[in-house]
Amino acid sequence: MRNVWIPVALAACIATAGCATKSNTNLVNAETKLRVAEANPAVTAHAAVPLHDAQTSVAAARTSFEKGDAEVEVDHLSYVASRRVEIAEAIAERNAAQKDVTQLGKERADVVLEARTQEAAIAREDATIAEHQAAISAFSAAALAAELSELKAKQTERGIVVTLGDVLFDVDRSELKPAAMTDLNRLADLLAAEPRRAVLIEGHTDSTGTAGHNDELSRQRADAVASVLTRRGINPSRITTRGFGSSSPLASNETNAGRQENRRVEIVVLEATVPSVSERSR
Amino acid sequence: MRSAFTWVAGLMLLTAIGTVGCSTPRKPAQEVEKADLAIASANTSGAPTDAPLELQIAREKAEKAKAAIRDKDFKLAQRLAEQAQVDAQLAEAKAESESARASATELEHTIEVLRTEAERGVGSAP
Repeated sequence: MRNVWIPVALAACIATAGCATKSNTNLVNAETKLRVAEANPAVTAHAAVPLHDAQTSVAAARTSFEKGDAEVEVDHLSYVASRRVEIAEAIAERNAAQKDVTQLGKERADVVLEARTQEAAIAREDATIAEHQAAISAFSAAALAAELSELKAKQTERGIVVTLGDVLFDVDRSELKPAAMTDLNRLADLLAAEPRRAVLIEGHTDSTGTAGHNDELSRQRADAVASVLTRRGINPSRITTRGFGSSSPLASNETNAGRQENRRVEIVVLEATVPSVSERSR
Repeated sequence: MRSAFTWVAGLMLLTAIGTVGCSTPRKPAQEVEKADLAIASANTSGAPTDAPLELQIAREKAEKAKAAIRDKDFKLAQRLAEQAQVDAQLAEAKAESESARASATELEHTIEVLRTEAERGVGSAP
């Protein structure tokens, strides 16, 4: 009978004690906040020390409450404990963000490196293209040289000079013989392939006959060559014709061979410049 | 010999009285100093712009703590100073967290821009 009453009395005692012990809202709030923070993996991972401080603080508030300290003291300790939980959370967030910054910094460096690598690859590609272009222009220069040697062209200070001999014209006539056409067609092709080069066409005669007649004949022969090139598609603005008459002999006019050498049309293919308007009108 | 023993006993008695004296509220100069240091530290962080409310609360409590010391209410002064300290620490932690997060976001943006540029660069390559 006595044994039965002991647990009942005990339970009554506990219940009475529980009712007598008023709970503290601020303490309960602090404890709730702490449990939330403890359940947050970011806080346990990134703010272990501040979390421990918060736990100590909450425990101190609980002890103060259990000791029956004044409510103002328990409130104060609960306030400090709550703040420490918030500090732990803020520090966890800060440390996580700083970790992200470190990681992102590495990532940025990788991206920059990747971009540089790509730029270098592009630069190498560009260099290869430039090499190819150089090879192509070298090839075209070689082709030009081959063409010019076919034409028996001479490289002079003024440019490349192709000389059409006297045999291509009848005596005292300015019409070209069909034999001249092979050379002129080849020259037209060459000029078409080198559109930036201008051409001087200069007629010359021997000293036989009057100066006026020779000037006129030499100019007409130059014009005849120019009109062939123009018909072959060369822009007339690239062509300048002059008649020198007998003023620029290559050889002596005393001999037949010399006079034949002096009767000629010289075609000067200039460097890659188109002559000015004033030069052309001369 | 006997007088020496008397001196030792006297000293022990004085120490005991001193210890008892410590349990009564004392001037919380150290707590106020810690609060001021925490506020100064928060001020140099981004707290004035990123956590102005917490910082303001900390400043007000530190001022009230000093007023309480003048009123000889040392217990109140100590509580206010302790609260001011944690308020200031929270303000600083929040500000640092904000600024670290902003840096991370900015970096993310920079990386995105770099990636886009790199892709465009490859696309327009000859």
